[in-house]
Amino acid sequence: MSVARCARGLVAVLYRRAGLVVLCALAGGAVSQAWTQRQPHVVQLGAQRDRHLAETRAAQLDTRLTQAWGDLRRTEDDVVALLVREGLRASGHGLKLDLDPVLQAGSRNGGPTASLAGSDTPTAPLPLRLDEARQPPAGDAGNVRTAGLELAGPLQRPDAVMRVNTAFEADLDRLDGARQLARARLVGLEHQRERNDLSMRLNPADAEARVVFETPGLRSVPEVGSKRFVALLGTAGGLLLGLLLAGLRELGGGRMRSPREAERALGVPVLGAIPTLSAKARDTYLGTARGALPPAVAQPE
Amino acid sequence: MKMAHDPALFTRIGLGVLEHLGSPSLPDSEGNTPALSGRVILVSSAHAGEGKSFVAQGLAHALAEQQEGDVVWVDAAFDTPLVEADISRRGAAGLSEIMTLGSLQGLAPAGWGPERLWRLGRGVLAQRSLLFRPEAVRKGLMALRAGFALTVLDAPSLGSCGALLAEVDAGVLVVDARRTSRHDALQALAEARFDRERLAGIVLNHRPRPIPRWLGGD
Repeated sequence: MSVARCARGLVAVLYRRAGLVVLCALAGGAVSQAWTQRQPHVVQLGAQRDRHLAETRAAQLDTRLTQAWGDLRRTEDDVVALLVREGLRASGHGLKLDLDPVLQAGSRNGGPTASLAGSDTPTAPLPLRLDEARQPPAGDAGNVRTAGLELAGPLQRPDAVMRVNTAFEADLDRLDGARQLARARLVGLEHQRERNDLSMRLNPADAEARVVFETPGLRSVPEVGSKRFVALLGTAGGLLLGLLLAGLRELGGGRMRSPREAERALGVPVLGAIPTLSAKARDTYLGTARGALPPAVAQPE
Repeated sequence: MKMAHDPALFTRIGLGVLEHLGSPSLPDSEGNTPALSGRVILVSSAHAGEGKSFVAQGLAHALAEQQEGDVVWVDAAFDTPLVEADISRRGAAGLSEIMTLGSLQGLAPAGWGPERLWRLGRGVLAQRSLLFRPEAVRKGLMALRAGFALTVLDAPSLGSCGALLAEVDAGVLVVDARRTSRHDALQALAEARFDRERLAGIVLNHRPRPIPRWLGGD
């Protein structure tokens, strides 16, 4: 088939079926325009977002739980380190640090109370010895001064012990408070995680069943430039489809569309060719008005 | 696009048919036209509904204007339902009565076109099988030949014409360009065994819009 014949066929298709081609092109453009203007399904997108939020929240809770466990563990380590340090220092001063009540106190609100049990032992007889020393001297006065000097040191030791004990208790209270906060945070996070897991496990469709009323803020439609491109693409596709349909309709079926084709196909001359006529045009061809026609003529086959 | 009216369309068709028929029987030396000199033209198609009635009416109109004798348009489409809307014409005698009883009744002026144009309905005895009875067909056409110079039969489709095909002088095949393929037309002609020599020509109905010459058309 020569190029000229193809071009002539295309011209014939465009000339006779221009309406169909234009209609298909317009339809393609309209469909592509509607496609670019479409909004994502709000409910579906909302359910997906809810599911995504729940999973993200679970992951965040896991991270925060790990951090809370780390904080609690560090606090516990600090408490233990403090108690061990104070125990060593007390033993260095000849004091006995009773750790059992501290460790057993655990998380009670008052915190562990360290008691320097060893401090009572050397100080308990001191008043008695001081009273003895204040008795009227039976011997010489030098003994009295000597005894006074000997008693001055032991009398100052309870004050130092009390200061150390107070600082220790303050540190211990501070660490215990931090430990309480870390534990409370851990418990709260565990509770949230349990609720989140429970809601996702017991009713998996719950997340999907939620309806989001507002338009989602996610951008899922093309930008302006690509919208135009898609619209042009749809129009071009519709044009091609229209040409294809028109070509099939024009060339298919083996129909005789021109007197020359009919004459060639049937081998007999063509006496005339009548276009598609309206009723008024048919009357014009018959040379009379419809109203003047007999009924059998007015309603022909 | 509005199609241009062609006032000479049926005139050309009529001339083509008359040319195919040739010159009528000449009068004898005394000027008497031989009996049964009328000729019968059949208008048919491969399928029903291709525009036979319109072409037959237009052809009868044109023939009545183009030659001297009387012309009758006859409704012979026994295979289609009667579309007679004129109450006064319902039940009137027609071609079927001529074929069965031999009485030429029911003839009426066409009411349109020249005064020489007449019309004849199918009659109340019209049956499809009647057209397949050669004797009846011959009897009916004989009466028409005797009374009219030209008879235009608005016939049924080729497959239902029966004995009409063998009795007519010329045939016109109407082809609907939208519906009828060349294969259908050829098959209908072959099955009807209509003599190609008597086929005056084709009338292409519902012709698609012709492509103008400046666009490379015919």
